[in-house]
Amino acid sequence: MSGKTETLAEPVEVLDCLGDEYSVRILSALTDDEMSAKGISEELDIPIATVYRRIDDLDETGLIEFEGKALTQEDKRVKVYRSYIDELRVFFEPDEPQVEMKRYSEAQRSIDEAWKRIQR
Amino acid sequence: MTDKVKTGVEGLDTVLNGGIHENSTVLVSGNPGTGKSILGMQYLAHGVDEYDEGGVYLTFEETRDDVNEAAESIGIEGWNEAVEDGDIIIYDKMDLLEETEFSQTLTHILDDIDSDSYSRLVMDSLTMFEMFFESEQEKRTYLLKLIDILKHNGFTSLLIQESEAVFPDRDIGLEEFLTDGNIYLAQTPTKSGANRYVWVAKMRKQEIDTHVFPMEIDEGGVRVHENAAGFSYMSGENVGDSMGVDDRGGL
Repeated sequence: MSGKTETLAEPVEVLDCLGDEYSVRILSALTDDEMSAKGISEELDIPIATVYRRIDDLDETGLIEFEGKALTQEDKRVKVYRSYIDELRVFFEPDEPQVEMKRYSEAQRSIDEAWKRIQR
Repeated sequence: MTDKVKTGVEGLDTVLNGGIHENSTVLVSGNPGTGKSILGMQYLAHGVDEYDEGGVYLTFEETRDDVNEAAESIGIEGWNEAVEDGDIIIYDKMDLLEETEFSQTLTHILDDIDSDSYSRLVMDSLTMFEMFFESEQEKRTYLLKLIDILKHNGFTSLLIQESEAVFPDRDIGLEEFLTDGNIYLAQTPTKSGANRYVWVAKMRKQEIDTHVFPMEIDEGGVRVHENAAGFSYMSGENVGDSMGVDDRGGL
């Protein structure tokens, strides 16, 4: 029931993503809310082609998730993504590092959202 | 001076010197079977009956039917009418235990909360709520946020906690520190049943009687014998020795 912890399959690729400035910024933005590639591009001022490439990388490593299709203001269906990372832990093993990801749970999210509302 | 909210539990309001402070969050702990849920239900029913204050009952442990049957069999005055009229809203384990349901339910609860007609809340139990969180740090953070949300929405709340320690030993955890008040319920087995006790250990910003008082669970619910302060905790037909109870004077 609580935020689950999972081991990510491609630790080196994960670390690679974390070393990339654009990927990290995209990741942070998606922790707060779901967004489309176009939305990310506009919000973070990153060229759209770069956003697409980074989204592919992040999605492959499991750092972000495809949430579904959302309707834009122009009535177009676009793919939206979201990150559920609460915490990442890197373990340095002799052969290959291991990365564990603790997910941000629904319970955390609902309380956080309710709490944000009362702070306004 | 803020207003006091009467629990409606006979004798307890006297021990509390009038009731609990409006808008406070009070922890009610005890072992299973000590009467925590009954006390919570009385508190909500009393609010509707006497003050027209709606109540929210969150239970992670029972179904709606279990709760209503329990209220009926104990004879908690006004419970079933209040539930039928929507003055007491129950969220049961079916609503709360599934995680995605939990977040939707929380949204519903907050809508009910916003409606202004509800000002008493019982969470049964905090122990189960905390299972949604992994680390001590997370439990602390989210308990604080929960308390904030309840206070902000004008609730006076009882958070029920399953206690593992056997009275007079107690677990003192972050729940004890983060809440405004702590009420302990205890029972010791006797040949004929149980001797029951209540102890108000802490209540921020108010004078309280910190003696241990005997209590009963009877038709209608919990009743505290507030005139019995100074009774000997060791007296009666306690099997006290095996409970590790020693005389702690003013306890």
